[in-house]
Amino acid sequence: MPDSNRPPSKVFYLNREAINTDEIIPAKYLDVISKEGLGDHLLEDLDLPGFDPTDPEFLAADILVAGPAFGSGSSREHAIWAIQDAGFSAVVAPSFERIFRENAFNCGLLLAEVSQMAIDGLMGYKYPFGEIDLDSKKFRVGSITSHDFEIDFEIDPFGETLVREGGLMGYALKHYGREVTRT
Amino acid sequence: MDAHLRDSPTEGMVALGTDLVMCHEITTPPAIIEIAEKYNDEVFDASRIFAVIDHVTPAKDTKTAQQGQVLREWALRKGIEFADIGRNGVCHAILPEKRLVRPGMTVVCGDSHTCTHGAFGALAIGVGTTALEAALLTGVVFTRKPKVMRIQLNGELLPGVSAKDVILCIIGQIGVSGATDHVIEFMGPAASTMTMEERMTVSNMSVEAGATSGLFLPDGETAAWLSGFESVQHMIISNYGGGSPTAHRAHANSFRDTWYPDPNAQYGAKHCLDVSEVVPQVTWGAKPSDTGSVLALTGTSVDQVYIGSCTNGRISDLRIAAEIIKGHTIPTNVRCIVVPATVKVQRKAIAEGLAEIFIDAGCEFSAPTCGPCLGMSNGVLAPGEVCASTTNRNFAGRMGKGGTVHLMSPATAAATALTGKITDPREVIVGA
Repeated sequence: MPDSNRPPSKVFYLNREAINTDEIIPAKYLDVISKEGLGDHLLEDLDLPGFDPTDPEFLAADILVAGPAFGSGSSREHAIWAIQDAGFSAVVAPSFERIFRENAFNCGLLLAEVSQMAIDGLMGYKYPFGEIDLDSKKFRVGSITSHDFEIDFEIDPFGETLVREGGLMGYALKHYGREVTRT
Repeated sequence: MDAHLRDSPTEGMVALGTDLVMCHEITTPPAIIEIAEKYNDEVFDASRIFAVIDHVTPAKDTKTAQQGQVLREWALRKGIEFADIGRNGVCHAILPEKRLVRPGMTVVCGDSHTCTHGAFGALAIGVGTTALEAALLTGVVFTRKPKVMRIQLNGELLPGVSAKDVILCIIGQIGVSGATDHVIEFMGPAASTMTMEERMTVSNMSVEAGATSGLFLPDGETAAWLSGFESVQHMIISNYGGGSPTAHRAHANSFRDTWYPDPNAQYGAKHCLDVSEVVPQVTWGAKPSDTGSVLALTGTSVDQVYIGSCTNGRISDLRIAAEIIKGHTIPTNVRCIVVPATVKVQRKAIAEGLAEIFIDAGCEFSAPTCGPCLGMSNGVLAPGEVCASTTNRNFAGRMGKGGTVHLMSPATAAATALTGKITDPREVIVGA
């Protein structure tokens, strides 16, 4: 992508709606007390014809694009840890389920909401490279040498604050640390 | 919500004080470890935290044993009430049993089915590990201010039809994202005639429609349930009537006057359901909204039947199942697993002769646990196997890679166990 000192981000497309957190990280991997190492099992059991979790394109990607209602089901934050551990820095979709959305921002993972029409276009063209511009709220996609398409995205304002601050813990303690017990 | 509002960090977000934080062994340990390493091992208020081991209990290997160990050691050193093996239960069944949830409280747990406690008119919100960590340290939870969805329930349940069928119907109608960022208020005559256990079943699955929580209006039913505290400490924590039995009774009796919907409330959405038109449900697909009449799937063979979970593992659920199974023998090609959701339910089931009914019929009757529900503990399905289940999720592979789950009510599951094929409970229930 033009711009940068930064190498372009590879984009991977999951053309399905309502991908749930059981698919993102199956329960059998929830027996951990550490947040590390879950990336190896990301989307291992995803029900999507043609998807192969060992696909080198998937393994090399930084940005995930998916259909609406992404992250439905279980509150397991392990889903976010798996996504981040696998090297993804952002997920782009028309909508996200609440707990997944809150977990993502709490961990500093960027979620970008785009229109269904934009997603339909993206799933059709499957541009291999992309870039998220948080300041201007634009998702630019294209080839390695050019932007071919620019899409506006929305991000929850509080979520944006958390992403910029790197997650919830620093924010929470700065503003609400050492709360006196309620009586 | 206004009573708990600490702040509105941005437009549309609220920071709420947490009255009660519940912790189980799957989602809490990473938070405990980080708090110990980085935040001086503190908690905001140990008396407002309740810990329980439920998902994989007893531990099945070193890793799950370590999860329990982290939780157990933390509870011990911080003086947090902890329900361990022999005194435990599925978290969303044991918390109400201990009468720790009261109307108007905020309840947070690192588990999506925390919405169950909305049955008590509490704002009960499921969160992830980091939000739980922040809540444990600061006593504050952040969430997008929910809109309110009113679901009016009219009519009367017909024989053979249950609260589980009602909530499956609702999810089928509004979809898995139908109530995202909404709190559902279940109102109407069919809601107020539900017992607390029925309300918990309905509230439990409100998250499957994306809801932040699912609330019932507190009333005499709620007050009756909440009248039996385990200890004065519990009564104080729940701030119930100032700690004295007399004040408590007065407080309970005031429910009718104190709790009512705001006549000027702005609803994000409104729906209406006549429960007399609801028929026994069975899910056919890979999400809870893929539901329909049992008649569409009658005759489908199953390998396993699971009766239990935070959705339908309470004593009333086991009674319904036992009534159907009584005197029969389960076919030898069917594994029927019955799991009481708490030790109290287990004890009652034994005392009432239900355990004997299940065991005599050839079911396995076990100790409390989440069990087969999430394919992490026991009762895992082999590829190609099918389970008729009273749980809340039928995602592909949830109970075991390559396995299929059909969600249904305890009555439908029990009827199915009799034949090994999905069966309409109305065929086996007298009076249906």
